Amino acid sequence: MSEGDNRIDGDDRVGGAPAVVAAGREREDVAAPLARYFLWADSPPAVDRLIRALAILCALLFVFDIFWHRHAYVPGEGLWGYHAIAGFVSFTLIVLGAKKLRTFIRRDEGYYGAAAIDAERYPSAGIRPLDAVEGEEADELLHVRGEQVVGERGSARTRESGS
Amino acid sequence: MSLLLAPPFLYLIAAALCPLLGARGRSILLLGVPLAGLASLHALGPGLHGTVHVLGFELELLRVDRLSTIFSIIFSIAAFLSGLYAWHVRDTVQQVASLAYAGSAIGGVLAGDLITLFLWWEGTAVASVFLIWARRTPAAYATGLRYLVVQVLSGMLLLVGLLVHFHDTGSIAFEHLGLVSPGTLLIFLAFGIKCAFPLLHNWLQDAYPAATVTGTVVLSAFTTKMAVYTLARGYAGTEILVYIGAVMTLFPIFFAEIENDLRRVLAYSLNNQLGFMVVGVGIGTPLALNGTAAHAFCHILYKALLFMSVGAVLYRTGTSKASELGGLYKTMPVTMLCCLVGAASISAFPLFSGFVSKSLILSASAENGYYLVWGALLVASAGVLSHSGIKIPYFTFFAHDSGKRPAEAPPHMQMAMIVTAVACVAIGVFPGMLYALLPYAVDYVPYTVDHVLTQMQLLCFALLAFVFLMKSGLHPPEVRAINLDSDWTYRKLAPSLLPRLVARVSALDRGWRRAALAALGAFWAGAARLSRPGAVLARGWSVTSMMLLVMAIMVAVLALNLI
Repeated sequence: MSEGDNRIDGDDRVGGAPAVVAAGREREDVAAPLARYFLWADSPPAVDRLIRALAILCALLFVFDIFWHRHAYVPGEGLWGYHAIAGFVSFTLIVLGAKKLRTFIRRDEGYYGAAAIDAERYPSAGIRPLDAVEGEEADELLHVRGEQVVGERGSARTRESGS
Repeated sequence: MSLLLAPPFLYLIAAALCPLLGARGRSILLLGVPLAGLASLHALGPGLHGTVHVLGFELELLRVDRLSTIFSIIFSIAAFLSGLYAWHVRDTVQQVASLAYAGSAIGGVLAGDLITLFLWWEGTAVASVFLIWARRTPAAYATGLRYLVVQVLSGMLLLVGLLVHFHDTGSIAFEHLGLVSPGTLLIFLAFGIKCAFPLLHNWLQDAYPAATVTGTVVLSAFTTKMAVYTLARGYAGTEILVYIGAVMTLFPIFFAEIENDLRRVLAYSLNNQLGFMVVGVGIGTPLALNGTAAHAFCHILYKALLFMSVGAVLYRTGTSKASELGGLYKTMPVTMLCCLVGAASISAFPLFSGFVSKSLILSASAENGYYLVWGALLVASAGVLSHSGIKIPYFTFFAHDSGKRPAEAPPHMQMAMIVTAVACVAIGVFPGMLYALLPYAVDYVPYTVDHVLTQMQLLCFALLAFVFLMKSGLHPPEVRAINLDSDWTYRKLAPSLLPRLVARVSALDRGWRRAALAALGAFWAGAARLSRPGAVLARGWSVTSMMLLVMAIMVAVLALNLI
C-alpha cells in the first residue's frame, strides 16, 4: 500500500457527507427507537431545564452541608462546602490550564508525517461504516422533526404498501 | 492436574491451535479459553504449583495467592469480554496475538520468580505489538516499532536488574524487593516503564490509538495492570511511589482535555487511573493495597467499556476524532448508554464501580497523613470527570451535530458493552462481591453519608463548572490537531540532532585518522632515513661494543629486579 492512499488532505472529512445538517432542525431526521427518550437533548429549552435541575441539586448539596456534621479526615476538609468548591475550582482550572497548554504544544495533524496515525484514515478493511438508513434495523427507525417523533419508518412503509 | 491446563499455558496452546481452526472456531476459542482458564485457576486452588528446575534455578511457574488471583480473574474476564467484542474479527493474526497476550499477562501475574516473570514480561511485549501492526498501515508499523523498542527496553532492564539482584542476594524469588540496591532499582524502572510513570509514559498514548478497533480494547487491559501488580508485589510501601502516583494522576488530565483523538484521550485517562493505583501501592497498607487491587479490577472493566464504545463509533463512522463526531445518540443509543455507564463509573459516581474502589485509595491516603497527595487525588477526580466523564460521551454523542447517522454497533459489540456495563453497575451497587476477592480482609463501608455527600458535591459542582465554561465559551473547542508530549524528544528532537551529531563525530574521526596517518608517515620516513646506506642503523658494529651494550642492558634488568 502506498503511503499516500491513507492520508487525509486538507478539509477532506472522514466518512460520508452529512445526511442531515444540524441547522435544518425543521427537516425530518431519523432516530433509533431507544433514542426517543433522549431527543430532548436537541431542544435548548429542555437543556436549560436540565441545567436548572443541576443547579438546584448543587444548591441542595451545598445547603445539606450545614445540617450534616461531616467527619473530617483531612485538616480543612470539614469546612463548609469544601468539596463543592474544590470540584468547581479544580474543574475550571484544569480546563483553562489545558487551554493555555494547547497554545504551546498544539501542532498540525501531519506534524509527525507518515510515521504517525494522526493524519491517516483508519483502513477500511478493519471497519464497517454504515449509515443508519442502510442498516439492518433501518426499518425500525423513527422519523423525527426537532424533538418530535413524527412517524415510524416501519408503520410508514406498511401504510405505503397497504394503500 | 496437568500443568498444561493451567491458565497461561492453556492460552498459549490455544494460540498455537488457533490458525488451524475455521473462522467461527477461532471466535469460539477466544470466548472459551478465558472461561476454561478461570475454571482451571479455581481447580488449582491457592499455593505454589508447577515448580521446575532449570539450570540449577528453581522456577515457580504458578503462584496462586489472593493478590495474584484477583488479577488473574479480571484478566480472564477482560479476555472474555474483548473476545466477545471481537466476534466479527476474522484476522488470525489478531486472534493469535490476543490469546498469547492475555496468556502472557496472566502468566506474569502468576509467576513466582523473577526469571519466569521476565519471560512472560517479554511475551506480553511481543504478542501485543501485533495488535498494532494488524492495522496494516505504514504509520501503524512505525508506531508498533516505537512501542516494541520501549517494551523490550523495559524487558532488558528487568533482565539486567534480576541478574544484579541475583548476584547480590543469590535469590530469584519474586517477593517484596523494595528500593534497596542497584538491582532492585533497575527492576523498579522496568516496572515503571510498563506502568507508564511520568516521562516514561508516552509509549502508551502513542501506541494504543494506533491499534485496531478491537486491539485497543485488548491492549487497555493487560500490560499496565500487570505492571501495577508487579509493583504491588515487589514495592508495596515504597514511599516515592505515592508521589510518582500523584503526579501521574495530575499531568495526563491536561493532555486528555485538549486531545482530539478520543482513543488517545482514553489512553491519557488510563495513565491517570494508573496513578491512583500507584499511590495505593506506595502507601502500602492493607487498605491501600486493597484499593489498588479493587481499582485495577474496576478500571479494567470501565476502561474496556469506554474503549469499546469509542471503538464501536470508529467501526461505524471511520473516525474517533472528537472534531468529526457529535449527535450520534440518535442512531447509536445503546452505545451511548453504555458509554455513559463507563463515564459514570470512571468518574466515580455513587452506585457505579469507580466509587467503591477509588474511595479505598482516597481513605488510605487521608488515614496515613498524605494530605497533599489526597488533595491531588481530589483534583484529579474532578479532572477524570472532565475528560472521561464528560468529554468522551458529550462530544461523541451530543454537542454539535456532525450530521453523521451511523447504524448502531453490531449485536455482538452491543452484547459485550451491555455485559461490561452491567458489571460496572453491579460492582457499584453490591461492592461486597468485589471486596470478597481483595487480597486483605476488608473492613470498609463505601456508602456512608459523608462519602456519598462529598463525592456528589465534588462531581455536581464540577458538572456545574462544565456548564459555566460551555455557556461562557471558555471551554476549548475540539480542533483537528495533535499535541506534543515527551515523545517529541525521540520522534523529532533526536532525529533532528542526529545528522549534526553524525557530522560532528565523523569530522572528529576524520581529523584523528589524518593526524595518526601523518604521525605514522613521519615515523616511517625517519626509519627509512636512519636505515639508508651509511646511516646509523645500516652501519656495521664491532663485537666489543655489541657485548658492552648487552651487558649494560642485563645490568639494568638486574637493577630493576632489585628495586
